[in-house]
Amino acid sequence: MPESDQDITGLLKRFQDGDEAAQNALVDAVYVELRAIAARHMSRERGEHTLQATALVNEAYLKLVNMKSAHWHDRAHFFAVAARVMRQILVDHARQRLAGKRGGGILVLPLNEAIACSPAEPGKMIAVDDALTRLAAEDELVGKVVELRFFGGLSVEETAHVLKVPKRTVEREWTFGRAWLRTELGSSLNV
Amino acid sequence: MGTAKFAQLKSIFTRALELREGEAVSYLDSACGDNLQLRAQVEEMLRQAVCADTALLTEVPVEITHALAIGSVLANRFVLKSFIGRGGMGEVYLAEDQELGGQVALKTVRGGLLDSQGTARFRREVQLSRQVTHRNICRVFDVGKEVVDGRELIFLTMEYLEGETLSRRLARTGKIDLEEGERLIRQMALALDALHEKGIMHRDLKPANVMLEGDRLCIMDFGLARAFEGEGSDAHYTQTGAILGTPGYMAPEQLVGEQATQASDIYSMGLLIFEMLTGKKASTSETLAEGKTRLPPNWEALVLRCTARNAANRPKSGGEALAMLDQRAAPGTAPAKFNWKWIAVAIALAIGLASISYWRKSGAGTILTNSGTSANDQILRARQLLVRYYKPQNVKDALSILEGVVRQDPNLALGHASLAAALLRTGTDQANPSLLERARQECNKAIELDPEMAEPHVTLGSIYLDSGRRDLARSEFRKALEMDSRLPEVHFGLAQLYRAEGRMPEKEAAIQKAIDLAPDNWAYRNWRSSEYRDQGKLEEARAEIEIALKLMPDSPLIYNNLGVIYLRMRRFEDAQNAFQKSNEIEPRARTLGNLGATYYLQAKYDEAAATLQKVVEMDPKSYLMRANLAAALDRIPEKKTDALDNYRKSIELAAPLLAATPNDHRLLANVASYHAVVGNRDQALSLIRKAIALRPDSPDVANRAVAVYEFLKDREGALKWAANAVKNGYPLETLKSDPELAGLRADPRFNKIESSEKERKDANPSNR
Repeated sequence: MPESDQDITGLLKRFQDGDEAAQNALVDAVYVELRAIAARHMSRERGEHTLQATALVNEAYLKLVNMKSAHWHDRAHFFAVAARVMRQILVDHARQRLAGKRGGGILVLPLNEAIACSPAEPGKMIAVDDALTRLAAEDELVGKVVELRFFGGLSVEETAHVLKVPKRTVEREWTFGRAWLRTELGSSLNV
Repeated sequence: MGTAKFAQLKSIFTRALELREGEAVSYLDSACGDNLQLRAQVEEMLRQAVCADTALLTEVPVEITHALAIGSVLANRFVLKSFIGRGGMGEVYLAEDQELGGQVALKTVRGGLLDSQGTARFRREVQLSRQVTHRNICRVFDVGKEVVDGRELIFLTMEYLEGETLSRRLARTGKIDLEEGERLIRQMALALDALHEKGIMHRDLKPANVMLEGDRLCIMDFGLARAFEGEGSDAHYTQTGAILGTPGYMAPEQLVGEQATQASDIYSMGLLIFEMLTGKKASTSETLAEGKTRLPPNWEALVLRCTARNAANRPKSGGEALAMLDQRAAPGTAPAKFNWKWIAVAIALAIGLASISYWRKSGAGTILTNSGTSANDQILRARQLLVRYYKPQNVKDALSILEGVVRQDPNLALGHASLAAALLRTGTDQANPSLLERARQECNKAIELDPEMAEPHVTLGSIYLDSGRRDLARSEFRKALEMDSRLPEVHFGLAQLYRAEGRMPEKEAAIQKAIDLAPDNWAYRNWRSSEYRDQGKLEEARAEIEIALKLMPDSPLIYNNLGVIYLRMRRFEDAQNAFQKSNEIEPRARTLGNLGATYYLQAKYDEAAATLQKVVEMDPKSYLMRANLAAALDRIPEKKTDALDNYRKSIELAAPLLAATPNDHRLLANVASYHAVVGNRDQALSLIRKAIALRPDSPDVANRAVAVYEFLKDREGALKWAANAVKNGYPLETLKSDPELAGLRADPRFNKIESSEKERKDANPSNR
C-alpha cells in the first residue's frame, strides 16, 4: 500500500494514463484512509449526528494528496475514485447494519473493523444504491455523473473533466439523473 | 445497454425542460401521446427537477457521532446542553456555565490535532484573543482541560451567538443584497482592524468563521489557525486539514507558505465580499469571469484592490478599504487598469490546485471572456496559435491578430504582453535585433499598464538573455518571480539563464519546477530533452522527448528532435523513421537535412544525395546543407565533380556569414574543411587555426580539424585532433562512422585513440 504523498500523486498520474494496477492501489489506499478517518470520528460514540460523506472524502484527500504538487486534474480523479469507494463503503455498511438488526443486534464485524461513517438510514442508502445501479444499467453516463456528484462531491466542472464530456452535458445528465432518482425513490426519501 | 423506453423518457424530459411552461405542455401532449404512464413519469420528474434547489440530492448524509455526551460536565463547570456542529478544529457544543451563569459556546479540539507544543501555542493565541473586545468579534473566554475516556481533551469557551454562519446564510439565500451586504461588510472591515490593532492576524477568514446574528456580524476563530501549525510545517494544509477546509480563501502568499499578514486577511475579506454580493464562490475562476456577476464599479474596484496578488497593493486596513467605498462618486477614481480577468487568474493560481497558466489551456477561455470584449477572445486565440509556435503560419497569424488587438485597444496590458511573446517566436534561429527591440517595447508598455503582471517581465528576461545581457535578464526574472512564483514561464526562463551561466544544479531544479507547475507543457520537456542530449544522456533524452510527443503528438519539431537523439544513439532505422514522420506532418528543410544525414551515415549515398538535393532547393541559401549535399555526392564515384562544385558553392554562401560573424568557431571550422576538400590548403589552415584559437576545447572544432588535416593528407595532424576531439567529448562513434575519415580509421594509430578512450570510460563509467 502506498504511504507517502508522492506515491498517491504518482498513482493518480498513472491512473489517468489508464494504468489499472494503479487504480487498484489507489482504491486500496483511499479505502484504508476513509476507514481510518471514520474510525477516528467514531472513537467515542455517543449520541447521534450526521456529516456529509463528501466531507469525509475531502478529508481523505487532504490527508493523502500533497496539495502543493497536485494538479486540479489529480483532484478530480482522486475524487472520482473516492466516490466509488465511498459508495461501496456506505452500501456495505448499510447491509451489515440491516443484517445486524435482523440478527438480534449482533454486529457482523468487530467494532474497530466497522466503518464508522455508516449511512444515517441504511434502508434508504441501499435503496439509493439499487436505484443508481438500475439507472446506470439504463444509461451509463447518467449513472457515472450521479455517482461522482453524489458520492464524491465533484463539481460539474470536475465531473466533466473526469468523464471527458462538456460541462453542459454533465449539467443535463445530472438534472435528469437526479429527477429520475427522486421520482424512483419517492420524494419522501428527500434525496 | 439501456431500453428504448428509458431513452424516450430521457429525451422527452430533457427537451421539455428546455421549453417554457406553455410550450412544454403542448410538447408533452404530442410527445407522450396516449402513453399516460410515460406522461405521468415525465411530469413528476419535471416537478422534482424544478423544486427548490436546496433540498435536492446533493450530499449523502452519514452518521458521525459527537464525542461528548449531552449533559456531561466539563471542568466541573460547563454543562453540555446540545451539540451545535462540527468545525475545523473539532466540535462545538452549547454549554451552560454553572459558575458564572449564562450560556457559552464550547469548542473542543479534535484529539491528536495538538501536541504539547501546539497546546502551548493554542493557549497563547487564546490569551491574545481575549484582549480584543469589539462588537463584531466573537469574545473568547477561556481554555479548559478535561479528561474524557482517559484522554486529555482541550476545549475553548466563547461567546454563544444565536444565529447562523455566513456560509449557511449564503447557502440558504444565495447572495445578499447590496444594502444589507454593505452593512455587514463594514462591520467585517472594522472587526479586522480591531484584531490587527492588537497584532492578531485572523489567518483563516472564511464564511464558516463569520457569524450573523440578526444584523450583527461577528468574526470567530481568529488566530487559532496558527496554533495548529507545527514548526516549519505546511501551514495552510494543517490549518485547513480539517473536514471542511479548503484553501479557497487564502491569500497567495499564505498558499506558498509565507507568513500571513494583515494584508492576507484583507485578501480573504475581498473574496468574502465578492461571495456575499454575488452569491458565488470566488474560488472558481469562472465565477468571477462571468459577466453576470458584475458588481457596482466601486465594489468591483474594492474587491480587486483587496485581492491584488501583490500584498503591497491591497488596502492597508479595513478602514482604508471602506474609504474606497466612500469615494464612490469621485470621478477619475475608476480603476481602469484593473480587469476582472486578473482577479480570476490570481484566484485560479491561488487555489493552488490548478497550475493554470491562463493562456495555455483551453479552459482559459472562461477566464478571459469575462469582460465581454472580443479583444480577450482574440488574445486567447492568438495564444492558442502560439502553443504550436513551430508552425510559421501560426506565428504569423498570431502576430496579425495581436497587432490588431493592440491597435484597437492600446490600453490592454495583456494585448501588449502577448504581442511581445509572439514577437519572440518570430523569425528563425538567429535572433533578429529589431524584433527583439519591438518586443522589448511591448513588454514595457504592458508593464506600464499593469505593474502587477508577471508575464512581461519574463518575456523581457528572455529578450535580455537572447541579447547576452544576463544581469538584466536575472533582474527581470527575479521581479516576475516575486509577483508570481507559480508562473511556470518564470522558472523556464531561470533554467535558461542558469544554463547560460553554467549553473547546472540550479538549471535542473528550475526546469523541474517549471515542469511541476505545467506538467503538460511539451516545450519544457523538449527543452529538457535537448539538455540531456547535449550532456550525452541519451536514454534520459529519449524518455523526455517521448513525453513531449505524448503531449503534442502532431509536432514535426518533436519528431525531428527524437530523430536527432536516435541519430546520436546510432539507431539509424529509428532516426530515419522519426525524420520521415516529421517530414510527413510538415516538410521542413532542417528535418529533411537530418534525414539526408541519416542516409549518409548508413552509407545510403544515393538516397542521401537525392534528399539533400531537395533540401538545397528548399533552402538554397544554407551553406551547411549545400556542403552536406556535397559530402553525399562525394561518396558517389561518378558525382565527384558535382561534389566539388557544391563545396565551392557552399564556400561562396558562407562568405557573407564569415564577414558578419568572424568569430563563429563552428562556421570557421566548417568552412575550413570545405576549403580543404577542394584543395585550398592555405585558406583551410588559416581558418581552422583561427577556430582552434577561439575554442581550443570545442569538440566540434576538433572534429572539423580532423577532417581538414585528413583532406590535406596530414595524417599526424588528423590523429592529433582526433584524440583531442574524443578527449573533449566528441562521440568516438561518430568519428568511426564518418565516411570521410575511412583512411584515418584504417591507420593502426587510430586504434590507440580508441583503446585509450575505452580505458578512460571504464575507469570512470559515470562520466558520460
